[in-house]
Amino acid sequence: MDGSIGIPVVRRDAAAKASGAAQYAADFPHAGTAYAALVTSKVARGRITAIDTMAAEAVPGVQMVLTHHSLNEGLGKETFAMKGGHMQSSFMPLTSDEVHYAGQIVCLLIADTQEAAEQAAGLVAVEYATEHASAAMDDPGHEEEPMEKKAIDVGDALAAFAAADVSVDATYLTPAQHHNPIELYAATCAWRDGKLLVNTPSQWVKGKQAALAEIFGIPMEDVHIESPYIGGGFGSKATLLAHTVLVAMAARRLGRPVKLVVPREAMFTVGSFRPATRSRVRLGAKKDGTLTAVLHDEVGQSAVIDHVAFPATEVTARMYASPNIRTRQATIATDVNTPGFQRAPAEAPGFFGFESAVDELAIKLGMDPVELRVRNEPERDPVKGLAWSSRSLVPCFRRGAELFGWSKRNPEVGSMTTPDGLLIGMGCATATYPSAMAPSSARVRLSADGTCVVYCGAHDLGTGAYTVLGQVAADVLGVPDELVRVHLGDSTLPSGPVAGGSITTGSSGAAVHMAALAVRDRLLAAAGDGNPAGWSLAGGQVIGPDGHGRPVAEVVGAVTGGVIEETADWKPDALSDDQMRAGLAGGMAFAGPTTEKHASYSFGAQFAEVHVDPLLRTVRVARMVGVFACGRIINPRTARSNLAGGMVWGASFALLEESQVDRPRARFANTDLAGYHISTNADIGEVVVETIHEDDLVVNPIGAKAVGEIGIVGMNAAIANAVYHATGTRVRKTPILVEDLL
Amino acid sequence: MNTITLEVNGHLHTLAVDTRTTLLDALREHLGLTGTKVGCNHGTCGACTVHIEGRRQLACLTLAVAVEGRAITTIEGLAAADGTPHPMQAAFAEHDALQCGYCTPGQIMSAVACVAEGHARSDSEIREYMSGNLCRCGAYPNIVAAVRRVAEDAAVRHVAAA
Repeated sequence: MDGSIGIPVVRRDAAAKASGAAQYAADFPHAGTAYAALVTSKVARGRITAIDTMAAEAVPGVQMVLTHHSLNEGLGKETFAMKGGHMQSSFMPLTSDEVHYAGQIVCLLIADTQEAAEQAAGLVAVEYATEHASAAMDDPGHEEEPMEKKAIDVGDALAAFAAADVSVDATYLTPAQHHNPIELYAATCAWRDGKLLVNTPSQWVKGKQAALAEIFGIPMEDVHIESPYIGGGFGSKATLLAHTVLVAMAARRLGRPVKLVVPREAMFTVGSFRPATRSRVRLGAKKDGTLTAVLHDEVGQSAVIDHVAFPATEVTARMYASPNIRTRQATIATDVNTPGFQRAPAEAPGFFGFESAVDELAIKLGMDPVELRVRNEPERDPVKGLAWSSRSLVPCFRRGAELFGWSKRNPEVGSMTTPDGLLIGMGCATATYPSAMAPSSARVRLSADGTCVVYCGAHDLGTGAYTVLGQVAADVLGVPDELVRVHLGDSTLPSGPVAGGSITTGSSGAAVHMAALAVRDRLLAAAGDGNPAGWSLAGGQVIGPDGHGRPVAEVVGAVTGGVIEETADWKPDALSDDQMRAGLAGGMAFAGPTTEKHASYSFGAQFAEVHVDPLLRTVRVARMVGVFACGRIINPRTARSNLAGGMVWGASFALLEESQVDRPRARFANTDLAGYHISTNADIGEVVVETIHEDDLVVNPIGAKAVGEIGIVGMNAAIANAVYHATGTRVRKTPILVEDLL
Repeated sequence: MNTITLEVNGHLHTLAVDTRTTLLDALREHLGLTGTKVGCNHGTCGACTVHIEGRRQLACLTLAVAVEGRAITTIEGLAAADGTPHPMQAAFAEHDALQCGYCTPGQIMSAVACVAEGHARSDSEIREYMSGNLCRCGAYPNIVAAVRRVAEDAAVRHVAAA
């Protein structure tokens, strides 16, 4: 291979993004576009008894008003993603008078201008028969629904916990949170000759294509999802959201393209969110710190309309060596829009409690929290005894401690201060994320002009896929980076998997690698007049058995058509051919992180230094250090940015983010970026990220494990542990606020 | 509808807008200048930052009819006439100060103004004066590095000129 892998190539799309030329969903012009606005429910549960749209229809320029009286269309067989479909929810607004959550779409207005549509939306009068509703899982009256299939038992953890020398038993809370990508959900739908073009930000172009084809009863090839750039996704733009379907229906009826840009406030309810969790963690250990019992009971917020769960316990159970492990998972149904995947959906909330508890145990033991984790490093997956495909957690901790200056930490609470009198807290935590894989196709074309073009229906959310997937092809074919082009984010491309679960580099990278190898084989065969024996590629030359080279472009130019192009379908070994075909047709087909022989996870060690004002009790994150082992890093520049971004999310999780619930009205209350706080530039201090190389030949042919989500996973707990070190106050919920430290 | 003339990136455009049309919608929906992004329409995210008479302003909180006759610069107008990127655009690419890229035009417009205002004398000052522009991907450390780089280069040029 030519060594393009591992080079910090500048982001291939950086210039387009910095110049404003990159086109996001709402940036595609369509002649004759009509504009849409939404009316959403002000009540959380009940029925619409009357909806008066007369005043709205009288606004000059209004073209169409859609309510449950006028829609008369549904999803057909298409359904919720977790029931085998692609929708964010099995409930489709405007198909009945039912109201299941506050902020549900109850009316869609289309007008010649955005201003007219919004004016009309303000004139729609809706009356409801309301019923009691609850949007918070700790409201009175809720019952837990156990998920018995998710229970994990190794040994007798209850007995071992009762008999432990030292133990911790604590409960931790994380709130509902919203993705809040800066790009709003947008959808422009245009019909031409019975074919549907959709510009919508998409983490799953193939899934959305399949869903819309099913809903409208047209062949898949008649639906085109165009989403080359996504202005932040974080899980929110994977499943098909109902408003996109409504806009497509409106556009078909109107015979004009229709564009909807969802307002920030409605982003909280027309899509998904990270549900609240409650974790009870019990840890038992011998006096020397050897774990004897690990117990984690997690309850997650679900919805009345769709049962959903994101069990962290499957991951926490595998974190440390312990002969006795017991985890239980349950959900509580609430009257909310269906929760969904948000960056490290299970791990980020689950590890807040779990890694806080490990810190509490270290304090009770009088042990260094790094050493406690190192002492309990498991040689094999402690649940099933599987071998790790690679696991470099201890080297991550050793290097992280060195980078951070952990040895300078005085373990005594409140013992360290800055020159201007702020309390210094230093904390650490473990991060991990499963390395699952999914089937992917890719096409690679080598042309006589020397260019190499990669075509793959994968997605770059800012993760670096445009850059990384090109490097994988360049590595095989020896093409200089400036001659590499990459096309992603379009349903007409060879099928890529959903951009979820941190799988893109490994899965689509493997497909690109495979296609590039096929191109190389044809290139060498062409050079050898059909016999590739003795021919090789090096430095942009095809080298013959006699040692003489010919430029790659010259060999390609001599091939009929002047191009060599190959398409490859890759699947993880654990999936069957049928599963691969279903996945490539827009279905969900995942393998891992555990297979019959191996468990594949990325690992990381995270450190935080916080400064706490001794009087005002404000917390600032002065420094964050993360060292991660994620297999082979294809591009250190984009990987570090991705990991650092995850750590910024972790800081935001720990100190700022909460979708506050107005309990009497059962709705999210802080539904804009003034009320829902995410980290600003001034909230983030120094961020240091390093990666440790691993040769993992098990996980996939290019050895790449999960990068996209691990950065957030341990950071919230590392900060909470640092806050304890500074103040002596153990805050067992996020966000950690001034009032928690008074 | 009102017929107005806007001066955008040195070019005059005559367009018919509603009195309620924001500068953001006028740029994006009427003039096809979609580099300026919509993120909240509330003035809370900074994605729509443009320059009006050289000052950074939020296009979503500015009515189009209110800026007639004033020089408006958007991200599309930042590069040199020959297409050479503005040093801030180059620095954002070089320092990987972007991920999804959606907040980037607003960040860059803000950053150019931040340096011009003299608010880029230290990392902490850059952080403070760049905090009106949210980046959900969390590229903040690299944004600070890019702004610092441009500010340092500008200071060197200033010294050299003196």
